[in-house]
Amino acid sequence: MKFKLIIISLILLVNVGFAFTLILSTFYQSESENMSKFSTIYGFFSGDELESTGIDFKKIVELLKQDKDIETKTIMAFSPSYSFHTNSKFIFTSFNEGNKTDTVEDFITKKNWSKMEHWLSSNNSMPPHKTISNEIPNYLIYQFSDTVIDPAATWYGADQSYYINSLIANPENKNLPDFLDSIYFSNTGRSGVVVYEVNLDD
Amino acid sequence: MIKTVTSIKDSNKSPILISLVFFFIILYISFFHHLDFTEPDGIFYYNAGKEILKGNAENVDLAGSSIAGPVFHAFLGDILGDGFVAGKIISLLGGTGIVFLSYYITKNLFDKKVALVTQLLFAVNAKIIFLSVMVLNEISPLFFIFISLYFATKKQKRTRDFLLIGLFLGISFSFRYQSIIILLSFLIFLLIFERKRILKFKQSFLTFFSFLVTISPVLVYNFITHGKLSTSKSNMYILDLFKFQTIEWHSKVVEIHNEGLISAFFIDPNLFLKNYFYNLLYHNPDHLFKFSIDNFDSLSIIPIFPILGMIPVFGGFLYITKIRLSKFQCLVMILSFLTLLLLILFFGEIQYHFMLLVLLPFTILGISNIKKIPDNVKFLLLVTIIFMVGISIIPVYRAYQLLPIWIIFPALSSLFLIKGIPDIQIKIKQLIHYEDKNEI
Repeated sequence: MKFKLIIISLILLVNVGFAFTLILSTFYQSESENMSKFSTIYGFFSGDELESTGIDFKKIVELLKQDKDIETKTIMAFSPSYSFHTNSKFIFTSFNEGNKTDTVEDFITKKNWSKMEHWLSSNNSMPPHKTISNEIPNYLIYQFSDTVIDPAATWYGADQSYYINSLIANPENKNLPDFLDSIYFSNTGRSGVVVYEVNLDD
Repeated sequence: MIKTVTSIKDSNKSPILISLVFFFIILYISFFHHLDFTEPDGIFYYNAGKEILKGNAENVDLAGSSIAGPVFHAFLGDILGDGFVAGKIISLLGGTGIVFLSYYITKNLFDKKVALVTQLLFAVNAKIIFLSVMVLNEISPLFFIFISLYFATKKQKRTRDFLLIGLFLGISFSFRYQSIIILLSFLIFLLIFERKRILKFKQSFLTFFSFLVTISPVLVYNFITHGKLSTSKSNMYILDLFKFQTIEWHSKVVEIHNEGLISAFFIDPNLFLKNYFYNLLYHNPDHLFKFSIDNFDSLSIIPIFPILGMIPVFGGFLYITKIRLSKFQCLVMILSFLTLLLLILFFGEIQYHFMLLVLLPFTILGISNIKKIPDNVKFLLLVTIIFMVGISIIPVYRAYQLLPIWIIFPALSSLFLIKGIPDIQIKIKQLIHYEDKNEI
């Protein structure tokens, strides 16, 4: 009887600990160190200050809202959340569209995007549409990760994301075109986000 | 104090109490820690719902979902004036409902104690908690699948129950399409195990009819708006998620992304099957049992140690089959194990196909002891097999996509923990006692 209860209690305890760690690291991150998957829980137990994982998100939304015409402008990104919170239009991209040798301009103008990539982008954009649109965005937001988080990622996706990463993940990159103005950059260790203002005419 | 604990345990209040504790903890996390609506999926579906309600339905093409989730979320968001709060309420209620139902579904299979431990395993499961907190389009269809599972696992089913199974699976289908696999499993179960009744086609007809009536508005909507009955695009998923791809294969599937799976299969049947068996025997079971230390996206009841979570599940299965192996059965098992091992070594990859060696002995045991397994447990085992065989066309990209079939795993684990462990303890004691006697 006792042995049975001990085993059940241990399993429940392990699950509670695991769920706590997952939820904690979903909403919080360690201020001092973010190189490991467990940095939030280490930070929590070592008494470090934890900050919200949404801190970059909030700063970016505030920054975008400073643009008085933001509601008439378009954001190109993977996540629709920036556009949702600024009431702006949204162009969806997974940053692996077009050809591998495309320039940033080719990418933004969707020069070599396939029909399927156009469909996927149009369908996930806001407002969604069926027609092929080559609208130039006013802002480009790229979230990146320094590590391959999902070990099950396909070779194709992983390969492509490294290419895009080398292009726009670093706003100091000298090969970046002049029409991209970096207005926000944050790298928290394992991941980061960069916001560009796009000054490219249609 | 002890009296109070005992009275709660003996009454039917424990499942309500566990559900309430779960509800208030999730409520606290949702409204005091989850402060920004940033889930891309949640925002996408909410926006899609708003567009449909606005009348822009023809431009909303939902590749992985039906329309009820987005429309319901947007509708509730309009009423409350806040889509984020609406999404959190849906997740909170759906998650609590699942935790609550997990007790009653398991009670249909086993006794109260096993049901209580199963419910606790649900309440502390990281993926259930995650889905109950985050604003996604996942928890509602799962909740309706769980209601239908409650009726489907009832020992004595009346006409009303067969209608309700179809109704709730139909509602779930209106949110996401995976409930159709549960429906198929239920109809196959009736066909195999309730042959006498099926001759009248009454039960299966009732379930299928109520399912069809429930999903008909969605089918009509899809047909009027998009000119087809389903908006699902399975080729999009295999394109994104298949592990083994070649450049030629990838570019050909891009061209047929709007077509059905059969056309994708015939592009390169060998490559398709290689991916399929990888998904079926490694990738998807990995999300159930955790095969590697660095996979934290798993439903294993022991989520931090690899493989360990399999032990109570298979232990519970052995307990329920009450094995009495004959020499002939042992011989068959050993021979088939060795044959399969040779086949895998010659034609497969042992690191991806080893699960077949684990499953084979249990399949033989299950088939040879099938009469000992209660009907409703048979049904859940059948659902699990059919769901895994069907869903493995794609590698699931999140463990929670396997939650529709998960209940049998914590239920068998709880059975092993509650009944199996004491049995093992007794047998060990008897063995020690027997050896002591012999020594004397």
